[in-house]
Amino acid sequence: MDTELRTIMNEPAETLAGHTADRRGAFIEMHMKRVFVLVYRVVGNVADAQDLTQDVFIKALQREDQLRDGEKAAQWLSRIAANTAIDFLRRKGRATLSTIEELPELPDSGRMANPERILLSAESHQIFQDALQTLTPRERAALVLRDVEGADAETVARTLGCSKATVRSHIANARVKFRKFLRRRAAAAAPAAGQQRLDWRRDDDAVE
Amino acid sequence: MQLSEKEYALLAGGEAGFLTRLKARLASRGSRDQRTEDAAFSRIRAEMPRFRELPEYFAWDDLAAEMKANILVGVEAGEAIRSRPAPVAVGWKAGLAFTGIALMVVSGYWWQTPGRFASHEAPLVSVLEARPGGLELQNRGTALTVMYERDSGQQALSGGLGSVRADYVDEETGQLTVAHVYAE
Repeated sequence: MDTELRTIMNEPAETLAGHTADRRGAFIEMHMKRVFVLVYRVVGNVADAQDLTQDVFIKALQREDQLRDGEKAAQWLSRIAANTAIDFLRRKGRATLSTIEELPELPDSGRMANPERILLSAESHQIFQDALQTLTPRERAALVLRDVEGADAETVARTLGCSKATVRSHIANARVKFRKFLRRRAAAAAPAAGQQRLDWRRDDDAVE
Repeated sequence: MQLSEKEYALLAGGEAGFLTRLKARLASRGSRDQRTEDAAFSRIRAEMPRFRELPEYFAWDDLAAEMKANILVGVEAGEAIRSRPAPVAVGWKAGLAFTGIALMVVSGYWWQTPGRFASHEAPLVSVLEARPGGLELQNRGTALTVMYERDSGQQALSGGLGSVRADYVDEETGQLTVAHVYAE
């Protein structure tokens, strides 16, 4: 798929005229899920993520000269996606930041004594999304790009248009808040506070 | 040697600097707490790539098809708009300059046109006068005179609407002569 797209993108303009729609279609299919997931994780709801993803691709396809190099195109697209999502939240004043203290309770409590384990539960996607809501938009984008997508810190810095030091700060804050959220969430899910101490260290003791 | 939570968070992703890594190595030798702290962040981070996928309840294929169609329509609509000739955009500064020049030209023309102030001079005066021999209309030294055959028994009436009427009756013939001059 990637090879096919690059081949089409590198053809001379005259040849491209015939299969513009195919080329665009292939480009959209190749990157849409990644872009949608990034935007969805930052804005936190499907309808907005859908609109913004469409905007991202329309903006990108209006500058098709930027899309000839597959790898650069992917990075450029991530940059547009992250900034579009962050700008959207800033413009609408919709960066809903939940405080970690105000956590909803989980229906099933017994199995979730360990903070990391709740990420393996059936509700993991919702928990993950709730945890992201405790971060600022830029922290969300940095965490998703670095830890979910696996981009290196330098790429994240280029994508977000900031320094590597700022990215490190965003990532460190994000991971600390994320972990705090999971611990609180696990504590809220404990059947009885006295019976099961929700100190995640106990699991490590057991392993050893 | 105690590391902060943020330092552990960076260690988990390999973003920590040399000094932090060194501190962590030294700390992990002495304390199990430090090791477990580091491991906790690492475990969370290890779970993260799972969220590259969307939850199963997402009808991704339908959503993707809808978005793809919308994107293609949006791109084509954008191209159609761009292919139309753009209207000439006049900035407010250019508009202001143009208005100033136009005002200057018009006012110059207005001031320079001869006879522009003629309306301020004394209006042309026509004098209509009833004389013993008839009616006379005088204007700038010329006169139009309606003469009667005789200079007796005539009556002169002046009208309010810029006209003068004079009539007389010939005693011999009994004929009535009316002269009505409208001055406009």
